Amino acid sequence: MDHAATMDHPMDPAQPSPLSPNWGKIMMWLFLMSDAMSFAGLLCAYAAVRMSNPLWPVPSSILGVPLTALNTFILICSSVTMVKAVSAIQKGDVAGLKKFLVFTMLGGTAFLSIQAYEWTHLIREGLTVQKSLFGATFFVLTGFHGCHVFSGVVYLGCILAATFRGRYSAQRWESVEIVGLYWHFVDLIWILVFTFVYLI
Amino acid sequence: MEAAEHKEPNYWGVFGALLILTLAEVGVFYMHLPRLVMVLSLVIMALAKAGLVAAYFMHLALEKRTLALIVISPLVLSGVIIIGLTPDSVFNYPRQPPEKWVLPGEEEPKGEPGGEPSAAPAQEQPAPPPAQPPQPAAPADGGPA
Repeated sequence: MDHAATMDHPMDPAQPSPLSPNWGKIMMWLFLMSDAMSFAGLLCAYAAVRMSNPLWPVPSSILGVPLTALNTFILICSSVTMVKAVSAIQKGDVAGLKKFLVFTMLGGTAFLSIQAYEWTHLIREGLTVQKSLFGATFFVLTGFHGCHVFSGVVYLGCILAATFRGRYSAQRWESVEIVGLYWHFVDLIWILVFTFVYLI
Repeated sequence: MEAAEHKEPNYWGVFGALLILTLAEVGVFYMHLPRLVMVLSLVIMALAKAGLVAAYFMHLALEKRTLALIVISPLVLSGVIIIGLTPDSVFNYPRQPPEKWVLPGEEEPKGEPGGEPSAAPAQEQPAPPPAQPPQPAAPADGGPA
């Protein structure tokens, strides 16, 4: 469109400031920060319990690192497709938005499937929430994160449905960016959980 | 046009950095380094990855500074709380024998090293009800074949 307007406000001509009118983004960030506190609480409880337990098992003797590394890779890839979805709709490319939203949802579903496979395997081998503290911290941490991934896939599905109803355009894409914030946050948390629960 | 392209970070570069850091993490994990070195490098790499995701995928580096302040200040406060509470929780925590966890108010488990919890009766399933004879599947009468 008009070049002068996009030069002055590269993100969106309708927004004088990224902060003041875009309350949706601030609210998502505030929610994500409170969510980060929940995860921080769980991770700190895990650290305290583990450090006070001198014979804590080496996690990799029980958990499978290569499969989870693959899972981490899948989640990072789905973050990239999410970023591509946002930049597609910022250019007005609705077909690209649909395509990349579907890819992102597929990535999340693949992550959940691999995690379900891993949990089934571990439970069959006798690791349960009640069996040991290791099992309790493992299942609570990864399960809480898995719930976030599942909600994220549902949330992305809602945005995809709204895309099919023609909600988004080059002028109107805040909701897509906000679902992206949530999705990247889930990815960020998994990076930390993978390091603290599986590797260390 | 140039401004818009300048605004969009190099997503493939960020993706490559995340990929390399993930591979480096797994590599460090398999190298069997001394424990302290391993933990320190893993934590640093994980925080670097988290920072990359927040700064570029979540656009925190491209937004107004105010948003970054809103986001970072609660994390700083929680970091202060963690540092303040760590000595208490780590060094004064009652050291338990491995895998034998007694909640406050619960009685000591009966000292078997196998780690079988003594509170098992509470978790025990009641006897299952007598098995129903399997219902025959409802015939899908009228349905298209």
